[in-house]
Amino acid sequence: MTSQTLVSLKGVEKRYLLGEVEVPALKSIDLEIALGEFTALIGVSGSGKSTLLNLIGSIDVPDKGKIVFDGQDISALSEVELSHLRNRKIGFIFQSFNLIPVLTAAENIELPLLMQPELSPAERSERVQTALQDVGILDHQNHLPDRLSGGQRQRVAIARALVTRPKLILADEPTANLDSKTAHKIIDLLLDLNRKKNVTFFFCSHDEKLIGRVGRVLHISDGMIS
Amino acid sequence: MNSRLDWILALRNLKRNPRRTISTGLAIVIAYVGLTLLTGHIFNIEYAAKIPLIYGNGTGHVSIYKKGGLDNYELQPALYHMTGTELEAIAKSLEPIASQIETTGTYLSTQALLSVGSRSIPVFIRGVQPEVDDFSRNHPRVQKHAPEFVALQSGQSFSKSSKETIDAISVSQGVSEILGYKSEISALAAADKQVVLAGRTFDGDLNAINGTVALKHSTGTPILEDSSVIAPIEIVRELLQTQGASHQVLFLKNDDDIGRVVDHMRTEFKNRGVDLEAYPFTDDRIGLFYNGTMSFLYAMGSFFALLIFGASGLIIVNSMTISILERAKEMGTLRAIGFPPDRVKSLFVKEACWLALGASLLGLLVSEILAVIISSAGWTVESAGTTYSVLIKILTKPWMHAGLTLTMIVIAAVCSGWLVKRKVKERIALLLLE
Repeated sequence: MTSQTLVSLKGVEKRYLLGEVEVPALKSIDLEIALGEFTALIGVSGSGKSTLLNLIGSIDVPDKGKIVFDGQDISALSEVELSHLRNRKIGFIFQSFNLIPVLTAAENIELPLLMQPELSPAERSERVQTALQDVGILDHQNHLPDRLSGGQRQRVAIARALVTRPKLILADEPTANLDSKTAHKIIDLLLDLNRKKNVTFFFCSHDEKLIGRVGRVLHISDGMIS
Repeated sequence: MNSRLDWILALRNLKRNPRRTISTGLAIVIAYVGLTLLTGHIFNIEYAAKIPLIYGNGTGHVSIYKKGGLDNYELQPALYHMTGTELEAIAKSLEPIASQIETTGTYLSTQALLSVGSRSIPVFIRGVQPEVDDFSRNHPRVQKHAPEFVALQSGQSFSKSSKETIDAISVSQGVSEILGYKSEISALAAADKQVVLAGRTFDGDLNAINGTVALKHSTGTPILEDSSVIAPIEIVRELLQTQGASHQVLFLKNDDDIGRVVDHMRTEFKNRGVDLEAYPFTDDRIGLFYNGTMSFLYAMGSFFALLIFGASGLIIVNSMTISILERAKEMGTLRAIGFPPDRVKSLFVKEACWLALGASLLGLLVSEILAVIISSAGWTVESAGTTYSVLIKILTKPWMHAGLTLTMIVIAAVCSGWLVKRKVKERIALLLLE
């Protein structure tokens, strides 16, 4: 592992039970993600990209292999330590945004900061405002999610991922539920954040058209990276 | 922990499925109202049984007997009665707790034969100081909590009667009926009111004195109703040829002081070396009917409370199970952004707390309105342990509401916490897929 490596996967395997049949989702994956890198994982539906993303984000556990995140072997961490790791070092952007419908845009963004008790309410508010500004939805901060368009909702989700100043942001098909124009705007935004804030991005998509826009592209097929 | 937003989130989540929130809330409201009415009614019956016992039957809050006297006085009154010296010792023992005592009464009771014309019946005479009898009959608590009991008393008080009739006595409703009194005492012919009381003196001699039925009372207790006579203590002293007393009672300002006063008196008696014993009115030998009635009511009340709590708990569990299943993805999201399982669980528990609090407050309002309506309707109920129909009243108390609200919140919180506990520990990836 180099000094620039943020995440390292060695011999990672994951299998699922489909009824009584065991289906391999990932087969002996070796992967390194460098700090500040923008990586796209491209693959068709069922190729194992979401599974890989979940394992990197510590929201699932591998059946075999080792995942080291920022120098820590995550298999050795307790549930509380994993929660802490996700909260401080990882941001998630989901395909269907996963916003809390009863909270405003600003409150949704503030949510992960609640797990950082060292921040005062004023500091939390400042961070939320910065994140809103970064994603360009400052004017919509008091809107509930159902009053926002798909693109605006995804921006809120991006701001929620950014607000904790994580080392890595994982995005699972962040543009799948958006029209093509909005999807490109979101990719522009992610790339811009990657450049300006040096945030490491790892996102998966089945959209081959996005390949030309990102620095590193990985292809996954039948649980194997090519 | 920054929990303000947690509480806001929990509160707003209640608006997500208004129909379910309303149905769950209604279950809590109905349970709350049911329990308030049940408890309020039990309190009313408790007062209906307690007040006549303490004030009407002369047991007071605390009774003091010669050691062994409670069990043996009636068989061996000469041996177990209290002397003037002992009454003085009691008075001295009361000095340190004078502020807790409303008044005291000295009683001399005995079994006797009451005769009117050719008819004689065995009675139990309670000799009481006239001013204490007035105090008991007209005490504000009796007027407030046992008006039905007051309504059964008739005739003048001993204080007033004794000015006209020096040997005035009071007979119970039951004795009055046995004696064949068809009308009120005041309407009786003078000859019908003249009675003879015969009894055995402390020396073992037979004695008889004249009396005039001037008052009617009720014991409020079935077992005493057919044999109770109350007379000024001097008349009974004359009958028994003694200056002693069978027992002394203490009427306290506050029911809550009973235990402390009993303990104080026992300590005082021990320190003074007097052979006296203090008993609370809840002692089985004094308040057997009261204890029996209340034990039965508490058992029934607990059973119904358990049913109500169980039913409301099941409704809460059912409703929350659906809510939790629907929001598995939200749990997964919260877990993914760094909320530990316990923190996610606490969000759902807080939601349940809001629901229980809101529903309890509504329940409080509804139950208070119903309590006023029911209490003013004039309905009566036959109650074990009393000789009269008790007016149905719902007596609510602030601590009762506080306790019920707290209980509802705890039930809702425990149910939701128990339901969420397992779900929230599932793999996050699976939660996000749901």
